[in-house]
Amino acid sequence: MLGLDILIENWQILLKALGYSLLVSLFSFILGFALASLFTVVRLFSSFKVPKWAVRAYVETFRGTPMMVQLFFIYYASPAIGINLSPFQASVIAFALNSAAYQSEYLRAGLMSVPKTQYEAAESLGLSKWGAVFSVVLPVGLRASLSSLGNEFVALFKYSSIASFVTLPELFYVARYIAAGSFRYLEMYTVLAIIYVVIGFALSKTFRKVERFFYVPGLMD
Amino acid sequence: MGEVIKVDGVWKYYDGRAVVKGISLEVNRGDRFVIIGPSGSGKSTLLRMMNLLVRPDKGKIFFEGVELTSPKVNPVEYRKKIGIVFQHYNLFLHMTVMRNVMFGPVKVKGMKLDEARKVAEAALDSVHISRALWDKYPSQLSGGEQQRVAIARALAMEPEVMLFDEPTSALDPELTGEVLQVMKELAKKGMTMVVVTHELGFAASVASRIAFIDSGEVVEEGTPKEILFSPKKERTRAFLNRMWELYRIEPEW
Repeated sequence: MLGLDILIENWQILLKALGYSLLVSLFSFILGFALASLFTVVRLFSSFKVPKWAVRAYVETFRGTPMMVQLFFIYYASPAIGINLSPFQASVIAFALNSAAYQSEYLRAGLMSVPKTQYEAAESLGLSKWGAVFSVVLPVGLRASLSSLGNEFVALFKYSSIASFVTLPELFYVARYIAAGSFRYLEMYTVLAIIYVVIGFALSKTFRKVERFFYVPGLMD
Repeated sequence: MGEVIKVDGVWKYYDGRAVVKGISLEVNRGDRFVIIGPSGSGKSTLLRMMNLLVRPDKGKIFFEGVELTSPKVNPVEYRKKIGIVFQHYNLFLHMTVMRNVMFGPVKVKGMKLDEARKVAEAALDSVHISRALWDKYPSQLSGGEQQRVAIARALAMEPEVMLFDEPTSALDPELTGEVLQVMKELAKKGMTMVVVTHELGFAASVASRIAFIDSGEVVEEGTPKEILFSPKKERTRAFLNRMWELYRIEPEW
């Protein structure tokens, strides 16, 4: 049947490739989130102009250039400064830097949706500025950002296919390899598309579950 | 009777326009100090300056003799002793009723959870919030219930003084009563209170002193009897006439 035998013959190598795709997405998402949190705090709560300006410049630069260019730059430019990155390392770093720009936008929107009065209420009880930010603004703002962050993860999973261009044996790389070796392009790419759809759907579902876990009545509806 | 809050010649400007023009007043321990006046007269700004949520541009604010406006003083240290209740309740949206009230004792005073829970239970009981509501979220409560929880949240900090910023203005008339009742009970227990309100009935029955504020100035200050029933200034009279007009009932039967 169309593509089924190709899946059966190569399931081990495809599974391993899927593992690479997921790992790159996961690591770059987490690293990106950490960076984005830092950026967001600087952008919204820092009292200094220069760091704020630097973060804005960063975000505009990374949103304004193609992800593939960023990946090639990291992978091929790093040896010039004496660092040799493996394809996996380069991909994670490039995607994380890229994702940090987007995630910081989502976090910013989420945090800005928190009414200023929530912050005032915390301050009035005697909390410091940062105490109010951490125990009131962040828990509400992060909830508001959850659905965008979920979309970002699914997007990262799909864009992880770009890592094939620096020879990371993830899904797209392996699919190309199998297709070229067997001349069964149509079947292989159909199977590949189905894999992306199924996994992407499962990821979306998982994020819905996370959102429901953190759901608070009346907060986002 | 010691003075709890002293406001000394404070000014506040927004966009170059003065909204509070050199107001001075003193709130003593046990006072129920009610501030009345037209919308936009600077009442709320004045109240919010008392815990330095709004920093005055000129003048000084004292709390128990300490100058909060001094650059050497960190107002955060003193806010825990000054409770405030807002017009729109401002409960923490992501916390249950119980967590809202426990929040201050735990986060600010570093109280243990079981200890804070006891304090919160007592505070919620004192504002008549039934157990059935303790694990609900703010959005699942009526406005009156939310405002009473907000009062409990402030009380759980065991403040020296409670500030009320138009606490019933966002409520339906039938919910106003339950909040005013809780405030009356607080007054009876001897709580020092500063209340910005349009509820003249409440002012008449609870206030120990009333200040009438218009255009950022204290026009007249005195006992409820003096201010509400024999005002000396023309501006006070005009305001009260407009207010009493609202209460005038002329049944047709």
